Amino acid sequence: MAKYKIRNHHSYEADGTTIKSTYQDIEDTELKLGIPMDPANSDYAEYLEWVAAGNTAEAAD
Amino acid sequence: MSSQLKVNSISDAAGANGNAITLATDGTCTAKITNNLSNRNLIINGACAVAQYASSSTSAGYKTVDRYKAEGSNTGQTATQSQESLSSSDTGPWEKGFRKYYRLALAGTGTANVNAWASMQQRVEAQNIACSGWDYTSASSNITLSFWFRASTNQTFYSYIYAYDGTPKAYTFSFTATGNNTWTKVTKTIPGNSGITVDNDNGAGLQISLIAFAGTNYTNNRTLNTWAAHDGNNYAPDMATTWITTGTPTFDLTGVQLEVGDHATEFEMRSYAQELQLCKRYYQKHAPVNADHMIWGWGRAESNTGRIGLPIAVPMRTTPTVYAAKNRLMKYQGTASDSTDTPSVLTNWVSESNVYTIDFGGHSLDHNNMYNLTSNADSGLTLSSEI
Repeated sequence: MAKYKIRNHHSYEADGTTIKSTYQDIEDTELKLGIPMDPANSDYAEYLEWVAAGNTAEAAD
Repeated sequence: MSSQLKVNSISDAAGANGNAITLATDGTCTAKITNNLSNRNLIINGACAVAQYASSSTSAGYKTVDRYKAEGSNTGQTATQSQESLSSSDTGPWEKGFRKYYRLALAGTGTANVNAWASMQQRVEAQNIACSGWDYTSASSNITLSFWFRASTNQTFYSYIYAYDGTPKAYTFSFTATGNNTWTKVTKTIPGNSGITVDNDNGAGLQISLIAFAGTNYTNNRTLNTWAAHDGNNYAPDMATTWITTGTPTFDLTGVQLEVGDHATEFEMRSYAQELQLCKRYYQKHAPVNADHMIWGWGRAESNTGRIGLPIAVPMRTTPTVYAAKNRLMKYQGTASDSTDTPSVLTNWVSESNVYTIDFGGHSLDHNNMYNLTSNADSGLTLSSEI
């Protein structure tokens, strides 16, 4: 398992199954951190450095 | 009978230290007052009183005393950072009203490896520097850093002041204690420089680092007391190895103050409550109490995810990273759902909001029904927007 995983999070219509909208964040799978994709967030900046170093996050489900 | 003193300035008897009071022709004056001033300290938690994270940790980063980050790597020993208490035997800081300090300690005699690093630091938000009144591009405008420090073995240590924005620049100066295990107050006045850039935003502005030891991978021949380009291979001149290779090395810090001006004023003591509120812009936690299910927030089910409004103490610096090892969602009629999935913060975060919306997935819920979020077992919830 990669250190980081990209995650999709959905909003649903009233039926509870039809996806209305989606946003993504990054999970630090080792530290169990939910990291927002906000450039000002230092954990996200660290993730971007990790990617820039040639690493690849686990894709979203 | 009244009398009047008409002078242009007042200085000490020797007159060698500039004017203590300078009078202007419009009836006003400027004065170098060193006591009882407020809202001057740009450092948060300078007295090291707040430690929301923990009292001790062997991990690097923000782990114990709020706003301070410690790093200890490749020293040949486990590095521990901690909040410690002062006693009346701590001559110097004790009499000034300090009761806590920040410690970086090695478990035993370390090794001066070329890639060893032991330091503590605080990053000051850029807009707090930009709006401080320090004309940072002017060599005649100063900031003054002061702090109390103590080291197990005295030697020449270095401080590295790092300006992040634009083309990063840094300023290194040296400091020593008056002896081994002796509290010493260090004061350093630092001028501005035309090459410094400080953005008016919520990013890192200045980083204040105190370097207990850096191996030769990180040191060389850096010129002291001048601004120059940041150089990750040359933070300071090569360091003596006395501290790291003697006994059980400790490096202690308290009373940190960074202020605009060319002299250090007395430390600005803020109440614990004030300091805690300032710290919460960068880190907050909702902790369980005695393993009970403490209510953290309320919301509704978005399919099998609880979309929860979480009240917070103060708006945070930026969208926070969220952590909660376990959580429970409780439906209004009593049905509970437990999850260990990592939560996520919705990105429509509002910088002035006192409620953040956070998704807690991995549950079995009834869509659009109402739930409250509680702690589960011994797991707390933390939000971090450290710089």
